[in-house]
Amino acid sequence: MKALIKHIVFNSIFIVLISATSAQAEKTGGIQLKIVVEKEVETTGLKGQTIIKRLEPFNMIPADKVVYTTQYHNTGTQNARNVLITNPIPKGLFYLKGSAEQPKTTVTYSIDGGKTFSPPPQLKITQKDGKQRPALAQDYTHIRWKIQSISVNEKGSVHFKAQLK
Amino acid sequence: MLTLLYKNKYTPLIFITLLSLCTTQQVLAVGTTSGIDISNQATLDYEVDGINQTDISSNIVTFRVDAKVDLTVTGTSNVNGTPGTVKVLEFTITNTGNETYDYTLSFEAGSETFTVSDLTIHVDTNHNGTWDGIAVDLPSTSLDNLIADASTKVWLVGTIPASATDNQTSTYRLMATALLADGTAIPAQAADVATTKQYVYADAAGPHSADGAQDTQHSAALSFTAQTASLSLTKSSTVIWDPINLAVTPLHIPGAIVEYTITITNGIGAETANAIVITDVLNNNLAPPTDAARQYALGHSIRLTSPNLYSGVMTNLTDANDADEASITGQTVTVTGIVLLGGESATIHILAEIQ
Repeated sequence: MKALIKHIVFNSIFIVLISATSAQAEKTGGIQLKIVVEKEVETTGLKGQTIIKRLEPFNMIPADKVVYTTQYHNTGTQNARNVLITNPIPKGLFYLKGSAEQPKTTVTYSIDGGKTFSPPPQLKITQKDGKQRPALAQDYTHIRWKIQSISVNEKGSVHFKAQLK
Repeated sequence: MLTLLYKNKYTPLIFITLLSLCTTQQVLAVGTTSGIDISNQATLDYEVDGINQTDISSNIVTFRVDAKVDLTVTGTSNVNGTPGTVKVLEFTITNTGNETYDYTLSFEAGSETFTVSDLTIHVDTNHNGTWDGIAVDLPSTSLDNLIADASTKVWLVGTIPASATDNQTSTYRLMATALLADGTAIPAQAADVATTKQYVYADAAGPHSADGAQDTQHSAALSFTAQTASLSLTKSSTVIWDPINLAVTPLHIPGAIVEYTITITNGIGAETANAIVITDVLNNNLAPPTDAARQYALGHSIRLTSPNLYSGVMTNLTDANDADEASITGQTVTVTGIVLLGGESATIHILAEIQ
């Protein structure tokens, strides 16, 4: 009995230690996660066509557009399932509607600071007069992508666009 | 920059950034205030073999919001004025940038047919958005501390010269040039440095000759149009009777009666002409008819049609210098009291006998 208790205690300590170290690093846990921000610039080509370039952010002023890309890479030894990637929409930016929709993902949004997530038709704001209205893109606070699985060695990314208020 | 991270296993990452202490920003405007940093970080939650794993956090990415230099100057409307009167052109200056700016104000003449020589810039000294006169809204060529998204009124005030004629127009262009909130010049645009707040010029070009795009300036143009009465006068005469041929084929012979017709017209769209006085000096060979039968009525050699008198009905007036609008003294016929709105006419008929 004593040996069993000792074993359980030892394992508990070990688990706690692992949790503490995982909370800080971005690379442990088998999936590498990297976020990149770029400025999206539109120019007109010689034939009048619109050319969109993504550059390192520079001279960022209201109305400029950014793209946040979150890249993942399963460097672990096991397949990951029911993956949820979450990005806040930073204060000072508003989400450009539809820009987070990507294939093989299900996207939900939060309008309550990240407490709950729902698809757009279910997102409602209660106004001062008590009536409800559909939430607009500028009401969103967070975006969450659900990916069924990320296999060993699989790489991918999700992204969204926002505009500087 | 101080960053606070809060996270637990069951909620996604909540990210809070506090403003940098070295940039003091004023009231948060609709546009994101300059100088703040915007950061983001992603989290990933997953399962392996049905067991939930510890969340993974990405790196943090940050960019700085730079200062947008942008403004608009718009004119309210063109103004009509009577020559010799003081008139005011109203403009609105709006700070469409994302921090507080000061401005210097200047103006130039556009196309001028008359010169408003005393034109001065006045600012909204009592900040009430309306023109309260030169004693309250004082002359100035500077605006202080216009915060982001705020606007203020500016007026160009001057006298339309007395020599201006009806419908002459002169155009003036008001320009505002932005400065930093401390009154110093805005730094030149430069290559981006991630840790520095850059100034990015975003203004459009305006009508002022010195106002280009992205030069921290904007302008608008408005016109003064002189509005006067625009009177014209015609005079004609017809011999209507002579003692021998009577009214059949009258000739200009002694004793013949000549009828003079004087028409006064005020141009369409012109200002009202008040207190018009018509003076006509009869030739020395003419005199009011002595025979009452040859007058419009006894003692009445003049008849008048004027929209503002006698309900516009043609009315006989006495030659005597009495209360009515006409009188004949010696050779001089005087008719007073006619008022014509733009587009109106009055007619005076005078009967005279060839001596």
